[in-house]
Amino acid sequence: MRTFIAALLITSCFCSVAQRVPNESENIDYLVTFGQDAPPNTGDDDHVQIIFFVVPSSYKLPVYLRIFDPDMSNKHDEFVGPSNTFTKFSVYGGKGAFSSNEAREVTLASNYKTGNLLASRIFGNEAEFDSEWYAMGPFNPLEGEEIASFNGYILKVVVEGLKGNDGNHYRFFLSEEAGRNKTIEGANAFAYNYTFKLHKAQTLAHIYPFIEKSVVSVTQHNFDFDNDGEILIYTVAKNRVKAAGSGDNGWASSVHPIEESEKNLTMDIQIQKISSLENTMTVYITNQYNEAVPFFALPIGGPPKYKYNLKVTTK
Amino acid sequence: MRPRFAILFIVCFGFNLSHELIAQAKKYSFQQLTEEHGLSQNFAYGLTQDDRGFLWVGTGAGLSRYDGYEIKKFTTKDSLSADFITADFRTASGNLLFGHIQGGLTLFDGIAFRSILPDTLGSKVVGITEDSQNNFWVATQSKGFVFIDKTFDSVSTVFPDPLQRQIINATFSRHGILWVGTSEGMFCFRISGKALTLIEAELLPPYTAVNSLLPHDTDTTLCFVGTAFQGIYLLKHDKAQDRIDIEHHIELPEISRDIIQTMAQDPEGDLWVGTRQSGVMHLNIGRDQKSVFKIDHFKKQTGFPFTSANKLIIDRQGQVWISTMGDGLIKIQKEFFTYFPFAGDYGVGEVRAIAETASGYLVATDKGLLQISLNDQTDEYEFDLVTTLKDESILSVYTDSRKNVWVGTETKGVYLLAPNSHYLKPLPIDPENHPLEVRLFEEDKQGNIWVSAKAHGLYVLDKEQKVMRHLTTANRFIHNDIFAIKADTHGNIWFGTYGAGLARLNKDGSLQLFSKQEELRARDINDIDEDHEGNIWIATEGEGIFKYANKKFTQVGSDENLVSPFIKGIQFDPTGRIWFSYRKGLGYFDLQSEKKYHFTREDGLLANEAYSSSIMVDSKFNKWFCNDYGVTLFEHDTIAEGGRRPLQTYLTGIRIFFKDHPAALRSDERSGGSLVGALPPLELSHSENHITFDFVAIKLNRRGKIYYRHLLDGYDSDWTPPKQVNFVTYTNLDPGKYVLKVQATDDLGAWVDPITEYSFEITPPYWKRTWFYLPQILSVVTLFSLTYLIGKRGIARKRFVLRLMLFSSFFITLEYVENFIDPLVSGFFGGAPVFRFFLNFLLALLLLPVETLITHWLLDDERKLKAAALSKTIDEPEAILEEGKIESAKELPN
Repeated sequence: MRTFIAALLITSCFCSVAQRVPNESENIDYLVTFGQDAPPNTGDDDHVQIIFFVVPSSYKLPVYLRIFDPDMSNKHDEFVGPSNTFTKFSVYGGKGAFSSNEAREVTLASNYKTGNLLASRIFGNEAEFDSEWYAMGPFNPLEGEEIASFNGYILKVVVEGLKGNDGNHYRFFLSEEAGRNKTIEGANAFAYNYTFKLHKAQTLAHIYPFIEKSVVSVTQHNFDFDNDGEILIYTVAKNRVKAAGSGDNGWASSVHPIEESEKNLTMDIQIQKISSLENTMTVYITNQYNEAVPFFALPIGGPPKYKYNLKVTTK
Repeated sequence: MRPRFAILFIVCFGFNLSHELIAQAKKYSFQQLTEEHGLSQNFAYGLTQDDRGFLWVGTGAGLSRYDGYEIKKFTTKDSLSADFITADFRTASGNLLFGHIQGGLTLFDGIAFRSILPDTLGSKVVGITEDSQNNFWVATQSKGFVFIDKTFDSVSTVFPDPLQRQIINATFSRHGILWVGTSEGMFCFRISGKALTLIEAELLPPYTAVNSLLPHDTDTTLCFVGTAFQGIYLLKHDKAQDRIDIEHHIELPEISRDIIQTMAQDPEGDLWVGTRQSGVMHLNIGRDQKSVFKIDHFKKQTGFPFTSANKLIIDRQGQVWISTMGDGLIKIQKEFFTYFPFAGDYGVGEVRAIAETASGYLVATDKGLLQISLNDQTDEYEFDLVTTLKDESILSVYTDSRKNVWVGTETKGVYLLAPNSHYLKPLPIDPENHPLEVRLFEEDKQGNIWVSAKAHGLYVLDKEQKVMRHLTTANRFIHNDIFAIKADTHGNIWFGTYGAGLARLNKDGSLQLFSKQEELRARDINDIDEDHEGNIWIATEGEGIFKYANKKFTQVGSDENLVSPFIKGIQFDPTGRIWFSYRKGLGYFDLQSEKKYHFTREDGLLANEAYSSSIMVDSKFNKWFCNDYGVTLFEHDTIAEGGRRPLQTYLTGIRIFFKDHPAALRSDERSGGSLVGALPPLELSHSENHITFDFVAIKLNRRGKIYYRHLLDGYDSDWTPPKQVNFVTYTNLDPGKYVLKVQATDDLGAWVDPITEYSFEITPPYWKRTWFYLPQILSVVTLFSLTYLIGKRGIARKRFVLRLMLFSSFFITLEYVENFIDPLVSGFFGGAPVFRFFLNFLLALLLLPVETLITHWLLDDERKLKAAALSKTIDEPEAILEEGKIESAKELPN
């Protein structure tokens, strides 16, 4: 099954910048991680963000993880009072970084820092990184965990909010160079749990989970949506199917059966925001076994389009 | 690459300097080795040099060994614990330890690899160190230390509480203290057996990540600590108070956003710093061991092909090697030569001479005098124009033993700079005040100065600078234009001229004209110098170099080993090398090793034009060469003091029928416990007589080629012709004892480096062993005896039995004879089959007559007996019949 994903990954990523997280196709500006002292109604349920990057086996050059605005400064971050928050960015590779079950948990009750630590850095209020890219690395792709089904090596990025109550807004780019965003051919990124900032007003964000063949139904979970709009599901067989949206500081979930025609394709979960207030929310998706379903920075096989079922009758 | 210049500062020097000092940047070049050159992978982590000189590079895909020319790869197939190597360590006994990505450890004892720890711990090895008890501490990133005793038999995990939840980045041990750098600071533990007791934990500001540690090379109380984003701390261990404090902080704003991944200290005490994203920096550390005067930055932006350094080492020749993240292995080396060009700034078109002075160097040029001085703080040379004699063409400059500096001009005669004076004063020496064109100065044993003036012969000045003598052709001197003068240690003065050749003014006052008396065939002399044994060396125009020893001239130079017979200058250095300059480059000839080397543009020689007497060796043994538009400096430290290292050849493997022989990798025979392996002697069976020997001579520091020659005692009669191939195959070796001798050289004219010998034996097959000859001889003797008995004693009654036995005996005998003769015949006739056929035919022809002869001989007695019986029968038939000796007449022989 994952060979199929790998094949789709490669074909999908050649034509687009898949290493940017959040991706332009998701129409999400920043990922968000709040400090440990921030209350849950900020939208960050666990103060941790985990992103996986896939580097194809054929790629033999150093890679850099570039982080945009990693510090807690004025322009892009969310402050509750004076800046007091530290954020730790860590990169893991090696055995267990992805393959360990704990690494793919969405509740983070267990040890999610599996694998070998390759690099880490803590950022506080450091103006020199305000609206700047900071590069971690270089990393040897071989130091990632080799996953044959992905035909590549996986690097895990863990973002932890340390002390403080502010929200750090940031972006990632897995780059071939330290000084600029240079794409790595065939690379992609995915996550099992996303905490992100929605656009200010009337915008549409997308989450692109990939529905494997074994999936019978998916459950979408969202936190602290503030009932600020609608969450809609689009697939080849679902057109504007409404999913449950959460209120302030609360979870909501809805189960959606999967038809045969929807398998091995990407689902598009659209988050339509109405108000002009900034909002941070958390989303994850599980299958019928309560296993987390990955969603990719770039929709594998492209965004789904609903296929109308036309019945032609002859007199 | 042209050197960079920078205007430093304005100096008003007491004696007539102009206003600008120009600094000469040191030049560096690099060499890159990647997967294309045979490296296991471009992601290189570990890097170390073993006792023999091999460079070992640990990569993400195995181990690579570099000998200066070739890279050999090693993987788990060679018994490594894992292919991914993250750390390495050279033990006190000379073994190598390699750490792996999941905590594995491999030992290399000089011969073979041995897995010490399987690669299953789950945390990568970040450092290995050896304590004062020779036990090993293997630091893992997140699982503490693995303690391994010196015998490698006892292994245990040590994870002290302060290191729990820490990421360990670096470690080393010294004086019973284990220094540990982690992601959150610096920790120091006292080692007691397997136990670690924390003695220091808050040495650095909070949350300072320590990524690299470097014990100071000379001061064992100091340690450099490379951090993330905080530069370098110098820590000092106060043994008296048993505490560690920060001695100094080097902030390095250039890399304030970067991580110091590795550090190394070069022989000059300077620090080399490797970073994660900003390449490598060379910090010129001041004499206080703290201040940084100058930084050279090596990164992609400055033309070096790498960004991220994993490990830095300085090899024994002082070259910097860097294992990089994705860019393979990089060597940075200071160029042999520093070139000081004067054409651009001063319009100089010719540099004639250079002399060392109290404050630096003075250079004679066609545009005046230039001063070169060494800035003690920056360790850089700076140069400037001397305003006195500006634009005057200066022909010579010379410093005598009293530190007077003599300056010879083209139109203004002689100028003198006295010691401690800042003023060049004119010194009129010609009584008639002729404008002298002063070509040369030389001081003799008595302290007199000999001055050569064009067309005016020689002036001899006493210590008071008064003219004592004036030698010209008018008073029967050899020539009025002397190009070379040398006052030797015996009190003689040698003169070189153009046309009139060489002459010597003996201490008794007689003048000896060597060229005129045809003792020396050269007539154009450029330079003269004396070696430390008192021999005189003469550089000639067109005839190479001559040596005068034992009252005889011997030509040393030839086209083959001097490149050019037009030698412009020669000069001995204190190590016994004669340096010579010619129009195509520069070279030296080592009298002791008889090695020579030529430097050309490929070696970084920017200018190779040289003029007469244009070489000067200064008090620091640096060599200065005068060129067309500047001077070239060859710094002494670029060739190791005390001469070159011998080029040792090492046997690296033995192959039988091109397959590695397992005995060659056997590690049970070690030399004196040092484990630095020599291949054990080999005993091979007669069927293993197709042997290939691999060998290598390691030379990391120099360009050029290595040639090998070999000789197999017991097989070869002489050394093979030199080749660059570093293996030799012998086929069809006969049983016997052999000694392989291999020698390497980087100079085909001098095979002076050590010969490596290796003994082996090919055992004979059982049928060629002594014990097997006994039954053979016994069988032959038995056969012959039987034949004799049958023939002589008539044991067998039938004739054919006798003949069969005879034929068998003859055949076997002839076979032995044929076996003996055949190699001789084959050797004589070149092994043509037709001669073998004739040999066999000849032997076969012998068979019948020999058989007949022997049959006759064997049956001779019987025949005689029967003949006698027959005659008796004729004479006394009754008596015979009575005796019953003849049964029938039919039985008589034919």
